[in-house]
Amino acid sequence: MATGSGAAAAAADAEEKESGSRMITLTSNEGKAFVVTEASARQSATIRSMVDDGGCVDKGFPLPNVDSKTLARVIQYCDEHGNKEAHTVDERAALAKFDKDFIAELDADKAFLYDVTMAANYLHIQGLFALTTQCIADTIKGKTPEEIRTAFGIEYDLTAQDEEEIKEEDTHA
Amino acid sequence: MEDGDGEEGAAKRTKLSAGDGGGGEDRLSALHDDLLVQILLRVGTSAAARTSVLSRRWRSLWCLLPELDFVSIADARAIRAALAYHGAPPLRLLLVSAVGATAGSVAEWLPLAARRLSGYLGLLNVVPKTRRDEDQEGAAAGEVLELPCFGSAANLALDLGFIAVALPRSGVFSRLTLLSLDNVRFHRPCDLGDAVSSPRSPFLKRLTIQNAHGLSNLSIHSESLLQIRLGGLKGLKQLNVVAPALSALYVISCFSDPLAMSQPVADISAPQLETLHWEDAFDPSSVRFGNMANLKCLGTHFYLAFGQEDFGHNGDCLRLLMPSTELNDLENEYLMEEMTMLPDIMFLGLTVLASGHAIGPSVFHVLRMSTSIRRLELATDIYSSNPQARAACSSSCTCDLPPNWRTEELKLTFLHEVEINNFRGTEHQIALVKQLFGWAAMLKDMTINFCHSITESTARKVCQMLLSFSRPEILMNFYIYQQTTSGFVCSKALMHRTKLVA
Repeated sequence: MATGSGAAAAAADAEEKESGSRMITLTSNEGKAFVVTEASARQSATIRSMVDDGGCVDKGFPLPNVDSKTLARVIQYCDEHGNKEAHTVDERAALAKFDKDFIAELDADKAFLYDVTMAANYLHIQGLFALTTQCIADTIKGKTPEEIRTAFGIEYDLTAQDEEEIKEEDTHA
Repeated sequence: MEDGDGEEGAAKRTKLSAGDGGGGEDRLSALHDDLLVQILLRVGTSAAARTSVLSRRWRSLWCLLPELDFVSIADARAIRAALAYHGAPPLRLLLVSAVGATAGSVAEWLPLAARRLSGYLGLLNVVPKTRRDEDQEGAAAGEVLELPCFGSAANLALDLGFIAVALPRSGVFSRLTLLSLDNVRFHRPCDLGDAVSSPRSPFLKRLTIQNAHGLSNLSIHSESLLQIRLGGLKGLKQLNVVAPALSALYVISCFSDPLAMSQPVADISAPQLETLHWEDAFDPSSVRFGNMANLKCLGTHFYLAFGQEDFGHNGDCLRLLMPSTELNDLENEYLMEEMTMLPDIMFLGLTVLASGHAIGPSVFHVLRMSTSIRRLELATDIYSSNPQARAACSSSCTCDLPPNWRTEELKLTFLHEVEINNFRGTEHQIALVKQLFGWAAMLKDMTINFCHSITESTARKVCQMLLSFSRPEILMNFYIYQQTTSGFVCSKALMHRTKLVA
């Protein structure tokens, strides 16, 4: 670490980093602080690169784009995936079960699902982003346009000219 | 978020915090373009295209997809509409599969694809067999697809379903590393060689041309090519290759068209070549290979062991393998005797099409001339789907002659490793393996991969029999293929022993 005061401190720091026992503070846009393990925080590629670049680990990371409710939920995912092992078949099955329950709960509250999706995108949490976007995609797949509009509350605002174009496309599709 | 927003994107951006909890409000449409595109990527191209009728916001969103897969939509106008959308990003992937597409329908979108493509284009045009003859007439009538120059694409794999194509006369394929053209009819005059040579394809590494008409002269001069694969170029008369970096060249059934019976003319200069498969007509007086000091693997035309040899295949094979030997007229019925010497080989790969007949005599014949081999790979009947091929021939069949292979001594003192593929455990095959144990006194490792149609119980019985011939110091590996939901991908070790109990 660039800020290390001596060889011994740097070594201790490296050891701590290795063991993943260091704690990192993430702060929501409402000023609420969440203390998480480094392993959990490293699920986010954004935070990972800041930590690895020797960023202000001690001061914590303010996240001006994420509110407390969303951050709490995102951390729930990161804790599960960052702090638990996924080597054995059983461990992987347990994580898959967690994901399934996690996304089922989010899917019931679409607005919250979008917030978590945006936060996952902002923080570059690949697994979580894949999970939420796949969930939204699955809702779109296999539905008629009217069903999709109902599922997401999309307002029909096509003009007569649009409809004419669509009719034209349909005759060729 | 690393990349900049379009003007429209910035306008659509919303604050990244929970609002009033949703309700009936359409928060999905308010998401940033980038996010919606990520979602549509997971929806798939055809379903994503259908979102264009949801609302104005969704009208053209799907056109921003960086990957388009038109495997289930063959309509050229839909492809054109997606590709033509103003402000769309470079395409990393474009897949199109069509049934019976014509030169005209492909021409509607291909030039647009050439402009936007940065990655991979895969086109599969499936043409019903009855349509092919009609198309031949259509091609004569003049419908020709002008291939555009792909200035930024990395990989092109086009199966054109025998559409007639003309290559661009100018332009540089400046990022192209892989080019594969299948089932293609080149419109004359065609200078494929010019398009794939270094000045115009400076980074091309792999070139594959298969089943092509209208290519009589191919001349390639490339500093970058590593692999060239030419198969079934009907009517090819001359092939020139100057490729200092080339490591593998496959020429398969290009000159050997039985109708053309043309003299193969080729001049190959590829000093780094390690693998050469010349499964084609060969005549050392007109096919010239330059210095090939690094050659490690040589593949030849198939060789008929029995029959009245008419087709010249055996001669092609022998001229390549025994360049200094004068060949007599090949008149014997047992044709293996015409093969009197082989190069000094370390690894021998033999693919035998036995159709139920004995393989012992012919394999013995080849091995007798290859006593320095260290590794032997034997595949039996891998191309045969004929159920009769699995049945043994009648007991009166002459295939087991000459019988010397059972009695004569053969010392393969360097042979350490044997692998047999597609093993069925027939009487003929087991007889050969039994002999192999005797010939290869220093054998350390034998792997038997059973044919996928063999049941596990049959395989186990054959294993026991082979183990009874083996020696304790030989590591025996047996594999069977088990059908999984995703096809024959799972290979399972049935038995794996290092030491046998006496």
